[in-house]
Amino acid sequence: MTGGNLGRLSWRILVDGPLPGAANMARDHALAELAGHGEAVLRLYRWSPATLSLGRNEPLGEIHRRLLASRLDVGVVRRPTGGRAVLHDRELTYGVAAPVGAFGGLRAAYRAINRAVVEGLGRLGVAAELAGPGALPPGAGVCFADSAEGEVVAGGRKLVGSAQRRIGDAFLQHGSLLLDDDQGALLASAGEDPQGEAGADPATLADLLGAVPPWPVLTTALADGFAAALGGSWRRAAMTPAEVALSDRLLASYDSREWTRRREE
Amino acid sequence: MSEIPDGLRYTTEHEYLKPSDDPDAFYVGVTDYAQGELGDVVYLELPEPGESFEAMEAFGVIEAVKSVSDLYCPVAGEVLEVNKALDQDPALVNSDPYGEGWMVLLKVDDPDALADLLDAAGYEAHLP
Repeated sequence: MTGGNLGRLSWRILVDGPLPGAANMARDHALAELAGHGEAVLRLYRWSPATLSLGRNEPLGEIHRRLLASRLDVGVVRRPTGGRAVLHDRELTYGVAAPVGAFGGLRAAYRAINRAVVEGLGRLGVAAELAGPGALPPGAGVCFADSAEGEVVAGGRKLVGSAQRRIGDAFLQHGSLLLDDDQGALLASAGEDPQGEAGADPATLADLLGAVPPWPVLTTALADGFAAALGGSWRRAAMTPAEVALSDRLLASYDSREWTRRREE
Repeated sequence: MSEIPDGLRYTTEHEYLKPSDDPDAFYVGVTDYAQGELGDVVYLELPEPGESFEAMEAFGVIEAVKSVSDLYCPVAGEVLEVNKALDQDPALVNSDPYGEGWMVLLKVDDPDALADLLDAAGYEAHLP
């Protein structure tokens, strides 16, 4: 697909958190709602407490209930984006909120953003690449158990899980870069064998680099990689008053049991 | 190149309206381009018959393997029928978007409103 005008897009970088799940999702959703005609945003953040996030339409199933029962201090939130469950603990999460038109389409955006993540990882010394054909089958499970075409892998293992939501003329893409292993606990608690699927054991930065780089090094490398890969103009800045106000309004729904439990098996 | 049949009306959000046997009722679905962009559709959230929507109000949600999008009602109207086949096989949206992949049959409030939508040539020009 051709089209798009990425070179003319202005970007804002928000380094944020750690925050609870509902606050993280409300902020990302607000950024996307307001990104339709204007500036794009790259938000880099963490979570506190560790949080299980479910995909927008994913049923809350027995495996998730077992996980939530298995650890005392794990939050739960339902994302606005698609995809499957992710346990956010030792990870760097990105949220990209941008006009779809600037990328030329959702699939083009997905590829461009994943290439930008690969570029950022390269600055950390990680030889990551995009997964080839052989996409995952849809179904209940955990996000990092499989890699879909175009996702970021390192050494044949999935390193970054990602998912999108289109909101009007804009989209939100989420991605989780595993810093250290925590998905094994999710898989085990979910009754799945972490080694059971081809490529199911996800890669982490700690595996690949021997240690997790400090947070400012991580966020700077990712932001620089995005800027180099996507072009346009980039600056660091806080959320606007309109974004804060909308985020505050959305917070209650992301915090509500009705939203989190909207689909159960 | 995605398929854009003549005789249908289109929105810039990639929904279509297709005539039915009832001159006031139209099948609503998403275009071949939209299904290609989304990839394999795994889940649809659709309204119940009897529900009414304003033009460009969200009437449902479509989820592909990785992406979620709202579905927008092209013109104001009332849902007469919902395609129950999609409950069992949402991938019909991918395999036959203009046929078996229709989502709702909509009774249009004002047939003149269709003039505000794109024809096939206009929609093709809108695609990137």
